[in-house]
Amino acid sequence: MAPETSSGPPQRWSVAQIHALAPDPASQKAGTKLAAPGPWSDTGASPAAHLLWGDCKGSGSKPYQVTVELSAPAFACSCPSRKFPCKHALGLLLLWSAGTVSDADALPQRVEEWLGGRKERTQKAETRKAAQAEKAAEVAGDPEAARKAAVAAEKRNAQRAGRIDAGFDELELWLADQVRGGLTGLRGAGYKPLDGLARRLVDAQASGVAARVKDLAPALSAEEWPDHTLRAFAQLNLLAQGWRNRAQLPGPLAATVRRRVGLAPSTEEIAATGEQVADRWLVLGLRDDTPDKLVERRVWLRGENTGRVALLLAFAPQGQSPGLALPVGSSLDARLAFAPDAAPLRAIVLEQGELRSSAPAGSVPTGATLEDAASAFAAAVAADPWTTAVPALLEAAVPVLQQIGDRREWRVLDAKGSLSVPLIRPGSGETAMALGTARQDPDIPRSAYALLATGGGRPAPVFGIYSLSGFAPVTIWSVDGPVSIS
Amino acid sequence: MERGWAGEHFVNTWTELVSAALIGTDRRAFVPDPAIPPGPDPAQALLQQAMLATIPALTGSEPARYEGPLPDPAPVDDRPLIPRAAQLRLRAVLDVYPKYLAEWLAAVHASGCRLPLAAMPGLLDVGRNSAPIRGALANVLGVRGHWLARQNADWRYLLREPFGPLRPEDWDGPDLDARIAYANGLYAADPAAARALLETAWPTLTANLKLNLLGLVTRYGTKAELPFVTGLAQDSSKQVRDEAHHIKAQLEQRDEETPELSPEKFMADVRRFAATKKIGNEFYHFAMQRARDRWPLDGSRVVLAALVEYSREKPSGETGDRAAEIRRNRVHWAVEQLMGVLADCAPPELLSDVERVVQAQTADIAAVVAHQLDFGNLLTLLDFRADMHAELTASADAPPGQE
Repeated sequence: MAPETSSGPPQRWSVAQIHALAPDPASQKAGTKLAAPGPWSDTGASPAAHLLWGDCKGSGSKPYQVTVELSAPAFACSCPSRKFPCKHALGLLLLWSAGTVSDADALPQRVEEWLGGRKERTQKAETRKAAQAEKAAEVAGDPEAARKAAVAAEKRNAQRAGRIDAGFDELELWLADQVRGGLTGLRGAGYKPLDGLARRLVDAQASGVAARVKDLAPALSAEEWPDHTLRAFAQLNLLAQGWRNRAQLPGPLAATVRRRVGLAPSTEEIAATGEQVADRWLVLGLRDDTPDKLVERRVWLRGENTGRVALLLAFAPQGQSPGLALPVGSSLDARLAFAPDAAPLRAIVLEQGELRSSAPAGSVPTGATLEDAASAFAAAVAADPWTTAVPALLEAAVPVLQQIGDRREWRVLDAKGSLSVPLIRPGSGETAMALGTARQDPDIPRSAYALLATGGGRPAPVFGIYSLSGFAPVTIWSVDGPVSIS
Repeated sequence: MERGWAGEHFVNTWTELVSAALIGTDRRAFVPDPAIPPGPDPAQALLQQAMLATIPALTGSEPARYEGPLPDPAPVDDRPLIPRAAQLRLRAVLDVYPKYLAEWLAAVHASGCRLPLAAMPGLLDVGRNSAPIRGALANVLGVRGHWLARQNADWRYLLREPFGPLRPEDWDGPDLDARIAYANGLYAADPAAARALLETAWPTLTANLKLNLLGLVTRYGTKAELPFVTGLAQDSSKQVRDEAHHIKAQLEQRDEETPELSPEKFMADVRRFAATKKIGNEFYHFAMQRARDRWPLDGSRVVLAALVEYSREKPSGETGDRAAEIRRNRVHWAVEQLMGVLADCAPPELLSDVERVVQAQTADIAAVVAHQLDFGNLLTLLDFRADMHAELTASADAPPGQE
């Protein structure tokens, strides 16, 4: 998405926006190294055509030819890197952002050719899409073909549901067996029988349950393992019952069950059936996690008028940018659609307008207390019993070292109410937050010092994730503006 | 351990449920609460009841009350923030050219601006292992950095670096780190005064403080410290005696005074080397001795000219003479290292001279005239250094559209 309106010459992008495009920190670093005039020649920009180009000296004999179209944005570079955008494109963007690329009247020939090729490709893609739509309409128009297609889809869904049913049957049986025989037996026998079940659930695309089943094993080594285990069993048992009775559940709760099982709605479904909310959205926080060679990007938004909180998700293979290049603290005019859920949070962007970078200095969002966060958490659990964490914006948070029991621990103090909870890291993950093991993350001091350095020990607005284990900060508003806590 | 949940209805508490589950419903009969719908399987009933009983636990434990005053907040640092380009440059320096960090920090300090607050912990971590940047770091991080360093034992080293004007009351006060910082600052400004201070105060100092101050002597000391250090052989503390013995050996290797790099002397030395046309190992050693200094522009130009001349020389073609070949390779290596030192120590103003050299070199290569050295890397490094200084003196006005 391009951070400017579609009419008129493009505003120079800010450094934060360019960095947000990079697929990974290594690319950011490499792009910065190339943001010097030294390796570049024949650079130019055409604001009218939203184009940027340049030649970059690389390790080969010929310089790499780089072109950027700012409206899409689209990047092209002759280097062999598979990353997208590559470091050369990032470097060129940074140079342009710093004002060191001069405007040119005429486009170099190679840029014209690239533009031509792109137009051709877009046209081809469009004709292909049109053909597909025509075919679908044909099918729709043709009752026989439409019926066949619908039957086939029905069959697929039924098969999948059947596999999940079988998985849950097996799981329920196993859970009851453990409770009949006694949980003490678990530590000896372990969870080997569940490996097969987890695999079968993954094959049935019930990834949510599969993950919960796999997480049973780590619970065994937590403090108070009997409590954690019985709790996890009870929640799984409830999920099994929810799945079995999903047709009788109210719509939003049934949607929650499906999501927790692992059947997330597609963007088309959300666009078609989700609750739509238009507002000016403040970007509260942004986080990238990289499990298994994937980049998972989470962006939290809060509507300035409606007060609704939304979570945007984007995924990309490692090495590619997941998109959603929204700098923290900026605000975005947009119409969102929320995925149906008992406690709606996940949303997709239907339409968006202007992206404004940070509001004037000194403007910070209003937040709430820890008690408010706890209430919000309780409300979420009441709607969705499998909740582990909720987003929360604290008005006046400050990190402190507090004596709890026999040790000193970093905690987040809410200066308004004099209550504190453990400081944890969002990267610990939902399981660790549910089990409490998030409190043993050795990197917690790093987050604490990041908060101390930016906040200066003064209560400040902090956005983060509130869970059973504590509060995990994501963004702090400081005198330097909003800062992401790594 | 309160009974039940919501006060009234449930017969079994959570802990009772956990015990029942641990033992197993086959082994000991479990009587579910009447509120749970009856069913054939007590295990299933237990699981259902457990779900309801665990709701209070799911909503999190009571946050702890924080007693006492809030910790002291950081003092205000009202220096302006470094320009956006310089903030970006810090990332590049740390990731790509960490050897220029000390130079960059000194330039930031000279500009009178402060760093982004979020950068402080990372730099404090770097300073832990890199003593040369500590002096500049303390000045750049200022009062807020000092405040932050006090919160983390790993960063305590910063408290022993001076920043701002020397305050004699620090020496008289009880704070150990402040006393060391004072002595540190005094040594940097006026070594003779520092020596005098140490000698007078020595008998009143604790062994711990003595050891720390001896660290300063190691860092700043010259032969002039020898009488003092020799006298420490009689000190009451064994550790001090041992340390003094150690330092004595080091100081004996040093000169009377740290040689000041006077531009005239540098120029004269450089001319001497260049004139002999024997650019090679001796020139390289001379440069290495000066590798911590900022070289003057005219001296740097002479070095550059000598490098260019070497580069244009055709390597003499005796292929058979193995010894001569080894000599040539050694010389070539030394010359390349010399170019590296020039890149680090020359003033960034040398950039335009190097640009001309590179242009000429490109033309030569096009005319099939061979060169022994590639000045491209020298250009890149000087370019980087020139930019990093320029950004810190750039005007604060950014074009619209930038943060």
